[in-house]
Amino acid sequence: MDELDKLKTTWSGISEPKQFSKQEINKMLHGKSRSIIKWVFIISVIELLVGVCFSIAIPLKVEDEYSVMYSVALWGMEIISYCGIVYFVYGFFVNYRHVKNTSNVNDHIESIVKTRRLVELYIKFNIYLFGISTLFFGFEKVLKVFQEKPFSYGIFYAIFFSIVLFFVFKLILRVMKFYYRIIYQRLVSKLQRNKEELIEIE
Amino acid sequence: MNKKIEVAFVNLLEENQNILHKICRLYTFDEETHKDMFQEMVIQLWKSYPTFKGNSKFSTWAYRVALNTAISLFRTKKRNVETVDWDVAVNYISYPEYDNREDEQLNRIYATVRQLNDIEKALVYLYLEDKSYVEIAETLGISEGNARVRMNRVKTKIKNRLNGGR
Repeated sequence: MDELDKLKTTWSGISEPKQFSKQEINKMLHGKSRSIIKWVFIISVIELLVGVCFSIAIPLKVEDEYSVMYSVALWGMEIISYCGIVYFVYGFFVNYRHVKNTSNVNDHIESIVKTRRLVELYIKFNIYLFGISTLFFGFEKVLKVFQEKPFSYGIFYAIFFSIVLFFVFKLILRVMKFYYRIIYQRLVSKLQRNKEELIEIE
Repeated sequence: MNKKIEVAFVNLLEENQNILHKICRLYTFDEETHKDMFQEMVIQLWKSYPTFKGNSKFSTWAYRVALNTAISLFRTKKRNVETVDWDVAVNYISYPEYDNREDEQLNRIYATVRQLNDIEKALVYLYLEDKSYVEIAETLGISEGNARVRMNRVKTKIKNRLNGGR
């Protein structure tokens, strides 16, 4: 008889010494769930609300001095940003509703991993949006200098500004990635490992 | 859901709570996390209760939901493999019908099982619950053949660990 079979012979007789009473179970029934999917959904809704509050507090200002291209780009980015947030919150909500605890472990993890993929897409979306906004901002600045200052100064300014912008962008990118890693990836990385384990079994 | 259904559910759960405790003991390493996981299982079972048809045993339906909850619940506390496992196992399992040496050996096996990864624990749990390989495969969402192969590997892994290997 191997080790596990020895344990199996006594397994059904094992009883937890601290049993919960009906009152305790009833109280638990109305407690708050700590499900990962629920948290991903809640955090994304909070982000959306924070975004909306920010845009109300600091409304988008398109100055007269901005070029038409930059003004259009600013509005475009603002619209894309909100469409994106709404799309992702909807996606997280649909995933939250579709996760079924009664499905098999593989399918259950798969449905949660789907949320992880959506989270990754959400992170990429925000980073790309931020990158494109930075590019538009930089291009507008440089273009203005070329229009107002001598060409050689414009070249110098363009190089200097690109370097500064590159490092600032890199720094902010790191902060953003760190934030998302803390908030989302920590929540779902364990599930990814479990999914990989099931794939390995198959 | 009305009060009558809630009462029926609580009664069923109270009778079958050992299923949840056994899974919690495998997946958690301290009392607080155990209780948190138990509570989450209760919530998820209650949420899924409308899907319980009543033609299968409550326990059969419950262990699937409980296992899914155990595997997917976010746990912040780290396990302390060397000490806590052993102590908890010794404290919470007793086999009065065995002599001390056998008792200690069973506790060591149990402590080793608790050090496996989440999927292996699910596999072992279902095996200990005397589920068939068809049922194990169906619950985990893998093929029956692969469930058998993996189970044999897990058994070897446990044996090696008990003999001091990895």
